[in-house]
Amino acid sequence: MIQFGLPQRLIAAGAVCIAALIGLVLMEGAARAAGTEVIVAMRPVDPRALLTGHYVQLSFDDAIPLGGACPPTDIESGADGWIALRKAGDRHVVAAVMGARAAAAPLGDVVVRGAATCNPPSPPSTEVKTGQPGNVTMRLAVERFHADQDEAVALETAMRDVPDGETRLFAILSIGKDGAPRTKGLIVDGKRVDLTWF
Amino acid sequence: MAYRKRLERDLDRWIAAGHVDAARRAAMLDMVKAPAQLDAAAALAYIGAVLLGLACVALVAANWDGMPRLLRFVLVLALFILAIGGAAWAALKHRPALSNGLATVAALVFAAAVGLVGQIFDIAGKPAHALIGAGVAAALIALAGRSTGAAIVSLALIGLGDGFLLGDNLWRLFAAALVGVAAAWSWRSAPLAHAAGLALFISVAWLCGRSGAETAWFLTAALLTVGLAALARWRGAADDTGVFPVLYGWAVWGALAYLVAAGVGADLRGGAVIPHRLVWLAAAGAAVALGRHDRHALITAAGVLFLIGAAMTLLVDLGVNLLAAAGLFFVCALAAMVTGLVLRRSAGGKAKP
Repeated sequence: MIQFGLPQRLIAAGAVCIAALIGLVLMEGAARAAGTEVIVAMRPVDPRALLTGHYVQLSFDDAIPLGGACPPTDIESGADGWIALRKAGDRHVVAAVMGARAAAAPLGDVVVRGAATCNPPSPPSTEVKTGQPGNVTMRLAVERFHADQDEAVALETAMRDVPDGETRLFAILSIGKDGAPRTKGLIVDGKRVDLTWF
Repeated sequence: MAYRKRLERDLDRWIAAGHVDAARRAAMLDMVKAPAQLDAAAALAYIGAVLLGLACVALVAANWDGMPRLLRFVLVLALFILAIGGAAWAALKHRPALSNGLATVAALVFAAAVGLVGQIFDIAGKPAHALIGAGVAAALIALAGRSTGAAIVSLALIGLGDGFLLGDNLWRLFAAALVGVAAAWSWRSAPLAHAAGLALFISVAWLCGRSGAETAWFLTAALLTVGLAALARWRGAADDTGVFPVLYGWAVWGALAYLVAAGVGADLRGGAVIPHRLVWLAAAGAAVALGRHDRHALITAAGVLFLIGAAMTLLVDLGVNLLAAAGLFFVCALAAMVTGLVLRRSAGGKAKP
């Protein structure tokens, strides 16, 4: 009968740990590749606040033009639920926010777990004659995109001096069948930065 | 002062008093191992190894951004393999302290690797899950290599993941603490007993706190923990591993804390408050006496701390009514002095032939 001493047991435990780590990376990579790709707008806030420690803080924010309305919802603003995303041109926008997946699925092309808050547009008034557009902000499980120092500096430069109302920053997400979002990359000023093995 | 130095001094005293034969001095001292001395060459070798390690870390850090993601991943894995391989080699060479140390390093490196891999490949997830995953891996390494250090790392990671990040779920820490107590007993490790005792103390407090009937549960936990303390004290008397005295100390901390918690919840109101404070005061005083009697610093410290807490809480309860507080403290002081006198007389009576 084979006797397992401490050295053999330690090697076996180490092998299990390494296999778990490699498995995690491979499974995440496979899930990222298999998911539905969506491109959503991000808010270009102060670049210095966006880039800290070589990562981009992901803040999903889309404008609602004057005359538009907040997407329909059956849950409280900011509560966790299911967000239905609808394709609009080359990107996706929030179509509805529902408490149940079954309720959200028919209202969009793809559904993702998360929460959303909406500020409706303000119509023209005596104070603001032209009115003010609204916005809808999504909170998803992905919060940051890690970038190398060179990438981070390039992104920061591209995000600087963005004219009001113009969206030049987009996040590329992969939405799994379970509705979990994963980061695939960013599009800044038309330049796509993908997450690769290298 | 080192044990050998103390023994040399005592031996000289005993020889001078005629209790020990001077000719046996050297033979007796030879039975005590001299502490290992680090010579200059070994010290320089250790310093060189540390500097070499720092140089490698600095080199990797300087080029980290420029490295492909796959290479970074391989480097992280290589560091873990180095640590766990070193622990296995040390175990093979029958160097348990080195094996334990390297297994602990491996557990810490794996925890860092989980975080780094998440960053390298942008894997989204809750930090709590990463901490608990790393804690489970550390437990696996600890059990495989009988490593007390890795076991302590495991308890710390699971506790952090459970308590601070998930907020309301300490079941995993409770289970890990029970395994930790069993491992400390089996491996005769006092440091692991400290970590497991503390984890058990915290997780039981959480279990009582979420029960909905805090007073009843905390009182039950206090009584059970007193029983455990008595068991550990009795078992510790016939045990030279140092594990049971540690568990005894943490059990007394737990019993006092649960007793206090039973009276600060919403359940205790009106006339029951002052009796609770008096029991608290008496229990803390008893812990001080017990700690001094058993020469157990952990228990004495608990007693002193809870005694101060009881006095301050009583003052608050009485609305800083100084006259009432003075009367109450006078009665308590009298009770403490009478008890001390009775104990002294009892000890004096036993000492007489």
